[in-house]
Order: sequence, then structure tokens, then C-alpha cells
Amino acid sequence: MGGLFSGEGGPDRVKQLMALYRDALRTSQVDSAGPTRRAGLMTAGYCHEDPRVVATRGTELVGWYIEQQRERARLVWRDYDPTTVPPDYQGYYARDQRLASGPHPGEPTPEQVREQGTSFCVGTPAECIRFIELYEALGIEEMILLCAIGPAQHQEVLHTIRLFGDQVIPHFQAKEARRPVAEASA
Amino acid sequence: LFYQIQVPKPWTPSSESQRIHEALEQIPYAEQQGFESVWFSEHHFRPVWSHNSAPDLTLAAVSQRTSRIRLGIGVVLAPIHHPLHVAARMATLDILSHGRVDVGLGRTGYPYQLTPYGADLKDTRGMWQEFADVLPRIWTRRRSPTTETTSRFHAGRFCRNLCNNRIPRCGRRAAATRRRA
Repeated sequence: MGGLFSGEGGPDRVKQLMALYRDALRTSQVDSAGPTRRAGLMTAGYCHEDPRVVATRGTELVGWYIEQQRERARLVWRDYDPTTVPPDYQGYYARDQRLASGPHPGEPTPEQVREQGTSFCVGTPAECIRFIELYEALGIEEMILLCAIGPAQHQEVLHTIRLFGDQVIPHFQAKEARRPVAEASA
Repeated sequence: LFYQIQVPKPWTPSSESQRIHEALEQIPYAEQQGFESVWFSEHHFRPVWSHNSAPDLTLAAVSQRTSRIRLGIGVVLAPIHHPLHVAARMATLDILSHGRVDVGLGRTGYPYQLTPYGADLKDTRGMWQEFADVLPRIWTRRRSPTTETTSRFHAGRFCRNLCNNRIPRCGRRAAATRRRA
């Protein structure tokens, strides 16, 4: 039984959700038909070797993604009577209302979000490696990247995939190969 | 990799088709480049953000263009499906892909995805829980459960042949754990 998390809330939120996930695994009576208990992180991904391209195009894509999240929040509850929101959805409702009415003063701009480098895997290969290692340290075992971000062109997506294949994935493969046998089998 | 099949405006008659076919080129390349899995979301009635209302069909096409990369649905929207249908479709996809399927389950936080299918927000937790309980059993037991579940699952039929004994890997979206928050 695995867990799929989203990186948009940043590492603190993922850490919080992973604690719930682990707690659920401990107490769950449902037996999985699957062989693994992998924890995966889904987030938007864009990679380019030129930091200037990352700064411009990467920021555009992050901005589009964030704005679409806001649009989702505007649409979700549009025709819904707020007095009938079930208790276990009221957290979502409050979150979406706030998101829909944003951006709020003090919230980071898309450029700041990208520069911060903790919510989206957007950057040079070295920056993408740092991003993944940040979540690897929290126990994330699989990175699930949305590279076909709305406005990203086919060639841009292929370029990101190429850079991951040439630089990012080999970094983690080499790291895995260096791990002591005892640790790998633990 | 993760695919929503995002189609930004302005649209042309071929925009949606183009995005899907681009994905069918990108994923085999990603497999060559060392990516180990590709996940497709399931979304309904959310144009621009996701044109991914039949992810298992798209993954069936992917399965014929790849040989190693794992194929995931992240996530099946449990409240709008019957588990017997999902079990059969995922098992078939698993056969087509030679055992590469991962199945995620979720309940969705979006009322507009539920209402057209006759589902209601207040029921999603229970429906998700039933789905999570039942789906692995459909794949692994001779009979579907008949007593402890709702009328959606009352058919006491043999499911093993239906699913050809395939057991795709099963997971749950983190949202599921939020019910404990």
C-alpha cells in the first residue's frame, strides 16, 4: 500500500501528511494486494541547463500552474451550498475559498516560489537534484513529475526528460550504488 | 512522470488530440531515459487543467509503445465507479502491459466531479473505504463480498475469471489519510 503526496504545500506539509500516512499504515486493517509501501511525491517539473531560461520560462510555467490551482478553487464550490459542506470537507472548503480569493498580500510571487525551490521541481539539473534530495530526506521514495505543464511545448517536455535522463537520474543511480549493502536491504 | 493532459487555451479542434499524442511520444522517450513510472490522473469536467477522463485507455496505448515503465492511475475516483468495472479494466490493462499496472484510489475533493455521476460528497469517505476493501479482494478471492457492503456490490458473482487472476498493485492517494486529520 503506497501513498501519493503533492509537493505544492512544501516540505512541511508533506512531512505532516507522511506522518498521517505512516500512522494509517500502522492502524489499517486493510491488507494490500500489492507488494510495496512506496511513498511518491507528485509535483510540476521543468529542467533547463541555462539558469536564465529557468528564470524566465520556469517562472512562467510555475505561474500558470499556480493560477490554474486558483481557478480550480474558484470552480470547485461554485454551485455548492456552503451550509451543506460535510465536516470532513470543510478543511478543503476553507482552503479553496482562501485560494480562490488570492493572491493575498505577503504570498510569494511565482518567481519567488521558483527561487525558493521547495514546491516545484523547476530548475537546472543541479537544482532539480537538490529538490529531490530535500524530499528524499523526508522519506519520499519516488518522484512523479508533471513535465507537460499546460503551456510547455512538446520539445520543452522532451528537453526536461532528456536532462533528467542524462544528469538527474544518473546522480541518484550512482548514489544508490554507493549505499552500503546493509542499508539498502534494511 | 505524471500526466494531467493539460490543454491551455486558445484551443483548436486538434488541441486535445495533440496533447494526448504528444504524451504517447514523450513516455517511450522517458522510458529510454531511465524513468521508471508514469502516472495518469483521472479528472472530469475540468477543462484546461486536465483532459484525462479515461486514463486507462490512454495507458493501454502507452502499454503498446513501452516495455518496462510502470503504468499508474493516480487516482481512480472511487465514488463514481463500480469496483467490478475498475477491477476488470485494470486487470485487462495489466495483461496488456505484462504486469506493469499500479492503481491508486481517491475520493476527490471536487463536488462537480461527483454530482453528474449521482454521487454526493457526504458519502465519499464510506464509498472510498468500501472500494479500498473490496478491490483487492475482487482480484484475490473467488467471490466478491456480499454481506458487509452496500448494494453497489451485491452481485455474488465469480470475479476471479473476470479479472483473469491479474493483481495490479494497489495504493491510495495521500488524501485518503487526511480523513484521520
